[in-house]
Amino acid sequence: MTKEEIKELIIARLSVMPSNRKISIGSLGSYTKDELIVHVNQDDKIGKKITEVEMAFLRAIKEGTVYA
Amino acid sequence: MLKYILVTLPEHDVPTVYLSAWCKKPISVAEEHGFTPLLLEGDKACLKNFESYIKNNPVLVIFNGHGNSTTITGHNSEPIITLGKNEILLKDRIVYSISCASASELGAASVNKGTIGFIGYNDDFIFLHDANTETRPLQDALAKVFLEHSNVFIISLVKGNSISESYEHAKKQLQKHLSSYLTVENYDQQIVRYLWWNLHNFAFYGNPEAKL
Repeated sequence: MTKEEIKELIIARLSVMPSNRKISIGSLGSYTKDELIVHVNQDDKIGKKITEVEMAFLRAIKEGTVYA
Repeated sequence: MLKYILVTLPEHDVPTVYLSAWCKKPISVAEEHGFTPLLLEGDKACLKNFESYIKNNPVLVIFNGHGNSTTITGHNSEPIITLGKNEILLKDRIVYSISCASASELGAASVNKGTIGFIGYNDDFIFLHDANTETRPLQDALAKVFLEHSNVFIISLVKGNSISESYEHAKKQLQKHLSSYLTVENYDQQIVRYLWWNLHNFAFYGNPEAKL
């Protein structure tokens, strides 16, 4: 996947997040989906963390280490 | 002889308000099991007070707050423990740090300097919460999914289980929540990712057989 495709995937996932929900990322703060989409688009520290989690999770799925 | 546990409970932003509120229950359980809690609440969660209270020789130190691989902070993100500066304050104690990434370097280094066990997270601790219940963190069912394992760990430890047993109990709780979401068709993408992330980064260093 290209960097642009990854960004699109993450934004697509974030866009279906309920609007009352926030994600708290340690000392970086708590963010709504709209705020997170802006950070992912800007590719700043918060956007990079969201991307890192997404990619790590996808790798784990591929390796079969995520299980119910 | 009194057995103390020292707990930092900063409350300067949404994450610390949640962590500190959720930590109250295991503190009560610890009291029921004969421990005397020493609480550094709100702006009292600072280095000066920590240095003073640690002189009571608590057997367990619980940090609620922020951090990174080399630092654990208190109220207003003031550093309390800094790698290379004062991790020796954790010597001969069991430490649980609910703060981002502090297990990765600081945890391992403090164990090398005599900390009995250091339990925490190797990367950022991330949780979801409901914006409508920010002022009532204990009523936030979404946050519960992310914070419950932390209470399971502390309660297991104060009930007399070893570090490794308590760690496994907590992991099992996290895995239970993860499984409950993964087994639903069209599962909740965010909840699953961040539960997995926290489970993946939950770690301990030190003596697995140690007990309080």
